[in-house]
Amino acid sequence: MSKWKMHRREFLTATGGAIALTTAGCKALERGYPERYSVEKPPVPGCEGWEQGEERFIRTACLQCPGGCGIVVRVVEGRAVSIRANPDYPTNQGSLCPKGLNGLQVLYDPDRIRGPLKRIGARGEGKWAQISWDEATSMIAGNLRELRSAGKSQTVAVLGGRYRGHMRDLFRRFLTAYGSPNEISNESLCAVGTEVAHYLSQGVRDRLGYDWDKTRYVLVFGAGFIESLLPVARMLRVFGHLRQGIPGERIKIVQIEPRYGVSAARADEWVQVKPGMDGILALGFAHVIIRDGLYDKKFIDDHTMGFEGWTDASGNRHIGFKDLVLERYSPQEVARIASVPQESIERVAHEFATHRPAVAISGRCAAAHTNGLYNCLAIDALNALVGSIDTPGGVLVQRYPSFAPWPAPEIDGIAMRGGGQPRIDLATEDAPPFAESQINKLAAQLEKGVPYPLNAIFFYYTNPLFSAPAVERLYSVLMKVPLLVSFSPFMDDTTNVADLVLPDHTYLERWQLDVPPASIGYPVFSIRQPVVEPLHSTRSTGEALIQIARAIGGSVGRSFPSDELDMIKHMVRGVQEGGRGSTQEADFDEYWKKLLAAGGWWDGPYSFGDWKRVLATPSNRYEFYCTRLDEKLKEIAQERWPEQSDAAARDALLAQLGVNARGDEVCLPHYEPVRLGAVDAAVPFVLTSYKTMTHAEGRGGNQPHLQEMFSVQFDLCWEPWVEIHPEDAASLGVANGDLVWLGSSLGRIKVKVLLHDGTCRGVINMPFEYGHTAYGRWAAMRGQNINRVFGTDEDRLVGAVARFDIRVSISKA
Amino acid sequence: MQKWGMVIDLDRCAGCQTCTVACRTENNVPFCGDGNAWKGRAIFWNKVITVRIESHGSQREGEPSASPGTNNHAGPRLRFLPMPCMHCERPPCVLVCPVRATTKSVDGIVMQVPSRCIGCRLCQASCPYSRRYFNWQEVDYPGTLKEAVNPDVSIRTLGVIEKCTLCVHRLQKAREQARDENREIREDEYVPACVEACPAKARTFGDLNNPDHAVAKLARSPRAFRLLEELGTFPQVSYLHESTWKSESRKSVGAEDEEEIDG
Amino acid sequence: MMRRKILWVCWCGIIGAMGVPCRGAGTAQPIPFNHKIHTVDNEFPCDTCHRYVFEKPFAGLPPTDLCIQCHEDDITTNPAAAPHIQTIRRHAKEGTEIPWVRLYVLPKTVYYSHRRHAKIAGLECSVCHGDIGRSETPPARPIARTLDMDHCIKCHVERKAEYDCSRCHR
Repeated sequence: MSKWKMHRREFLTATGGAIALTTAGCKALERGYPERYSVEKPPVPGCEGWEQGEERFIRTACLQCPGGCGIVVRVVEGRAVSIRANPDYPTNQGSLCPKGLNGLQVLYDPDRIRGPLKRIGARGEGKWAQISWDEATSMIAGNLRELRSAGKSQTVAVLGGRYRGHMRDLFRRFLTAYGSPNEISNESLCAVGTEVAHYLSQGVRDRLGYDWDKTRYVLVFGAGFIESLLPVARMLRVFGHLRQGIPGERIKIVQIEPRYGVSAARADEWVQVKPGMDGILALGFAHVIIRDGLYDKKFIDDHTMGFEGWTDASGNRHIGFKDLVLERYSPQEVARIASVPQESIERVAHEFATHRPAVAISGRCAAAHTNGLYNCLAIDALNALVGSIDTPGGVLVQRYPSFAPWPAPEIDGIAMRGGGQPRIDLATEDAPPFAESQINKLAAQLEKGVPYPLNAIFFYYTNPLFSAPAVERLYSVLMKVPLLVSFSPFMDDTTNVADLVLPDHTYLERWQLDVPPASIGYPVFSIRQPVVEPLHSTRSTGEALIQIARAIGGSVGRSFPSDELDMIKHMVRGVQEGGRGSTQEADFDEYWKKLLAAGGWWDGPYSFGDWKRVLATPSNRYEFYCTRLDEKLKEIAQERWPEQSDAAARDALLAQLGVNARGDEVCLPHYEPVRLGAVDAAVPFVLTSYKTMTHAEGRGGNQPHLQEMFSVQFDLCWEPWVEIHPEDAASLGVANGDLVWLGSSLGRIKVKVLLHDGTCRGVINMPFEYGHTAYGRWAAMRGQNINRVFGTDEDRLVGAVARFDIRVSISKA
Repeated sequence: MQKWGMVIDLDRCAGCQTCTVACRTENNVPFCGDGNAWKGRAIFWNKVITVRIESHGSQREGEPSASPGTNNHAGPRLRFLPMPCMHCERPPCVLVCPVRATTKSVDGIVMQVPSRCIGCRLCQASCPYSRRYFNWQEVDYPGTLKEAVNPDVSIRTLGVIEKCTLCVHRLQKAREQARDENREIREDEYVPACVEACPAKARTFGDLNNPDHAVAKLARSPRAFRLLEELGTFPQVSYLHESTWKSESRKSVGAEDEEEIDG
Repeated sequence: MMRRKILWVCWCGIIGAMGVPCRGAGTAQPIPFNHKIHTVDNEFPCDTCHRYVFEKPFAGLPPTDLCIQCHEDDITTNPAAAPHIQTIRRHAKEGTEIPWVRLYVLPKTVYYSHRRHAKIAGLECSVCHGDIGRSETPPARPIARTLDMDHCIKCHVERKAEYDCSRCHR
């Protein structure tokens, strides 16, 4: 029994250990249990000034997504300890989504950049020197001054993403005074097709608001009704309301989407449609509604144009929407093309038309196709057919607060010349007619160096080396740009290769105006105020930009006479002087104080019937026949083919734009097949991506709580996957959990397989979030970026990336 | 004496997981990182679980029989079930705890005192709803992340069980305030973080013994059911069935529920 | 091997259990505060300095502002106290707090409220804190060792107060 024997030495060791443990135990007892995360003050900056137990509730605005919901932050002893919803803020009305509640992991992210950095190693190597703000500012200003005096001011570009409130105007002002047209936003990566569709049919280039309180039927085309429709917290509140909020009535939600996701599961009915077929399905619904006379005749007569056939001023006869739809989109035909059962088309159309007010919503999954604009136009037409435009329970057109404009910037000769140059992203011979900004063209333009190379790029709240399509190509051209400046508070993929980093405050530390996206219809804004003192040596980007402008000096410096907060207050004075809305006060300081205490300003309720504003088209009617599209095509055709006849030039333009239709049909909602090319055995699958609740914007990767609950649907987290239909998987010989190569003409990525029977045969889905090369310890190097295979084509009318129209191959890795 | 309870309306629940995050931030529930999460060791006092209904017997009203690839009735369907601790009236976990680290409080909360827990995990094994979690690792909030810790709630160490306490720290405060003012606790004065946060207002919370509280009425509604009732645990958290859409023409048909959800 | 480990652990447990009652080295305050002068001689009630004792869970340690309200003027006759008065004034001048050290540190798993005990239940401070009010030098460790659960429970049982886990643990 030698095992039982304890040698003397062991005995001593054990006793010694025990005594050591005892001492430690005493210590622990003395000091409480467990003490590692004591909340005694400090070390957070500013918390010395707080009394013990002091608790404040500070109202501000969320920025975890572009929704901009009102939040209340509980600050105890100088530390922000929890986030709740602002019960008074009209967009979210006391609701908040998981991202919003998790904002403190943004503020207190241990991997935040702690001060201005200068690159000392090679790009992307991650070697940095800490510099002071003055050094950083003068370095950039010196560089920009040089470019400006060399007459190259237009070679400075700003790539901006989530501009809020005054930030876009501030950057534009800077570029105007400096002399560059290149303020490039990331709108073309998003559902810009929906906005242009509203512009063509209703004359409003914006998202639309919805009056959910009275809606009785909801048809969702390719939008994540629950996961990603903005503002998410409002949509979640609305969801509860539609379900059980109205006594005696339950509202039907129909989700039309290729993939069975959370929104489809929570909808009453899921209609599976092939990718890019949303438009023809909507036209099928329209056919049934018109055929059976279920449309709103009064609205059609009073407020629409192009429904019936019509004759224009020069006597030409045009076909009407009604005839086109009746002739071309019978349920049998639609059922055949979109492979949706005819019975579903008939029934849903009937339900939609008989349960008014009903609304149809178009989203990313309908818009991110080569035929995105026409999909969205067809979906919008459904709202017009049932008269849901600007009625209680229908579609609203958002009004915005009337901020006072800043005095005009000072523009000298250089600014005039530089600002007059063509934008680099739109200076292509086939620039889309309705594109305002096209970050997806940047790589090609920089490669060719036309119309000029870029010498400096500022990145503000955008991360194109993660989120732009064909990301590897963009990487290689950005490497050749001499100066890359990032304002990101986090070391994300793009910041990682920058030369200078001027870290911004997070949204819980800075002053900012915030105007939420279209949702409730009436004007609303909030003031984002600091809830805690800035943790690190960061600086609000607005203020940093003003300092750079001043350091450049001359007319650029003189264009920024006051600091950022004063510029914000100047804008707000315009609203104060309007004397309307939730806060009214003659004295500005008092007004400001009240705004901060309320968390914002709003001026409800929505007033209906302002048709001039709601239908701002040339005819002041809802245009089934989009005259603006017609005019634009005419104008561009003449510009590009001046030597040809009108008809020939138009045909040439339509061919260039990839539009198959000719004649009147071009300007009417109609079906354009997606440009996918023929079915190819080498690349048999169509790839789509989707968003989950916790990461709808792809910016949540550095928040561990969100990572750990990434997909409620599959209970999967911390790594990506690709969803394949079980039958497709069987024919490929892959099983759940296998690693596969997913390849397109652009590149290939390695990813895990997940069998999902809620996807179309031949269509594979991948969640959007993973594949960061940087972005902190929790996000970096998890899976591979889907944007390495995405992004060859676009909707050539609006310039939006046709993410979902790409064929890919799958092979076992 | 009160009997705190909750009713979760599954028809309103969107499966958004706001309750999960609200709970995690309020109660300092740690994240565990990929390694342990993949082993199923992630801690969620309040988890939205996904229920896959393989075959669906009865069709919903107004909807066609299954045709391939059409609607959710052709294939399996997913339903989301938010799961806090059920705070059973006869909790099996309390019976098995050898050190009385978990107790049933006088007002109906199944309490866990982590400083008393020896980590034997008997309670975890005995809970029919799997609502108890074991700390497989020492809490590690690197750098500034620990500043966001809620000062009202203690942090649990390695090797102890933790679970939903119905945000008992909020009750302690509310109760004290009410007693200071010599009155009863108001209905909206004490609600757990998940109830407060639910954006779709799917959760109702209050005193099941107080007929004036909304929760008491809802818990007796014909739509109400409790999970695994047959075990005799008598959960104080009840659910309300999903209901179905009725088209205009059939609205007069009485509301009856066709489906059961079992965990 | 396994058995040896078990033995080792048991042994540690025994030794550890024997050592539990021992206490740490004690606490030194920045100023040798004389409770007696304040509470007995000048008859200040405790909540003069521990301001939140009837309002909040914590009683609160006096901030410099509060000390200086009286000690701005030369009210102290004891020459030995003079340097400490200077310390207070220095802190007041610099706008810093006197780094008082908390003597009673409760485990974080416990919610203890002064308001609940001192105001709602109307307990005297001395029930838990002993004769601290009569002490002339700050004690290095709590005078009355009332911080363990046995004391809490004993008192709660005696006074027929609730002792449900959920009332204090969190």
